[in-house]
Amino acid sequence: MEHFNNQMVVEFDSVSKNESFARVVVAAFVARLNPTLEEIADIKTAVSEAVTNSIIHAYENKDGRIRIETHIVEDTVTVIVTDYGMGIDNIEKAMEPMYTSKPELERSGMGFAFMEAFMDELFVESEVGKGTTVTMRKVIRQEEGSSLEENN
Amino acid sequence: MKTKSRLCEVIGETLVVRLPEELDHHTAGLIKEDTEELFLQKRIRNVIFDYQQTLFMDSSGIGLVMGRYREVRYLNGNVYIVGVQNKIARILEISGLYRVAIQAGNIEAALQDIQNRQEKNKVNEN
Ligand SMILES: Nc1ncnc2c1ncn2[C@@H]1O[C@H](COP(=O)(O)OP(=O)(O)OP(=O)(O)O)[C@@H](O)[C@H]1O
Ligand SMILES: [Mg+2]
Repeated sequence: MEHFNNQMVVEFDSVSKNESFARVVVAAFVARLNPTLEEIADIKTAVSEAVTNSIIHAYENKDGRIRIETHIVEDTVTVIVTDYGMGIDNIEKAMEPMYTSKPELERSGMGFAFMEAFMDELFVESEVGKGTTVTMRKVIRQEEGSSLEENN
Repeated sequence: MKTKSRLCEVIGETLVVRLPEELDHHTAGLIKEDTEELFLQKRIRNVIFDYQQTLFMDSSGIGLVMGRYREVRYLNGNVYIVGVQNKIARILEISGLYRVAIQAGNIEAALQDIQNRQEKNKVNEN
């Protein structure tokens, strides 16, 4: 049974200045679960990776829109980052650590590896010419000894 | 000629980069522009990345360090990572950057290491 259910959606332009906005807005939404500082840092990094990928790869720094949907169900956060850009031809290859299609832009091919390391689950769906959806899930174990939730 | 930008400073042949609080694609791009200008103006053999202020980093920070490493390794120089806070210690570990960069406590320690290596090289040459 779900005792806690909530959703948040934001959509914004594909510009690098919005990367910090994206991570802060997701972190603020997740704060109600009382995550540890480390859990917050993990989510921020994962969101930053997905959004940066949309800006650099999906839209190649041209105009576009990025949508972030965040769900909280009980103690689990799901973050879904969607773009309507060029899509990924070979997802398996794209997700290999150190693989990058843009070495000339000083990318290191670590984005998906970090999303995988810092979240509990990661799914990537993509269609060439249509766009990409990255779904990430993390169970929040909550700060020890904090009773903020019970007071609400 | 200006050799000191807001975040970058050249000391001898060493470029010191004071990284911002949040190191992402956006801020890494600004820093890269600054360093590129200095690489053109000056002979730079070593780069010290000071993470003292940095509380957030993503993969863009990895590319920034790797890129500078590629520029100095032909001159037998080194890249240093100093002042790492707990918050970003893990991502730096996972990143594999320590395979190419030397870790030091602070800027002074890195500068000392650079000097020690130079002296050692001089002795070897004689
Ligand atoms: N939203 C996207 N749209 C299109 N292609 C993508 C998208 N996200 C990732 N890719 C492709 O997957 C590859 C791997 O992505 P990943 O984030 O792991 O590395 P990177 O972005 O190349 O480098 P880094 O994240 O280390 O800066 C990219 O180089 C790109 O080819
Ligand atoms: Mg990436």
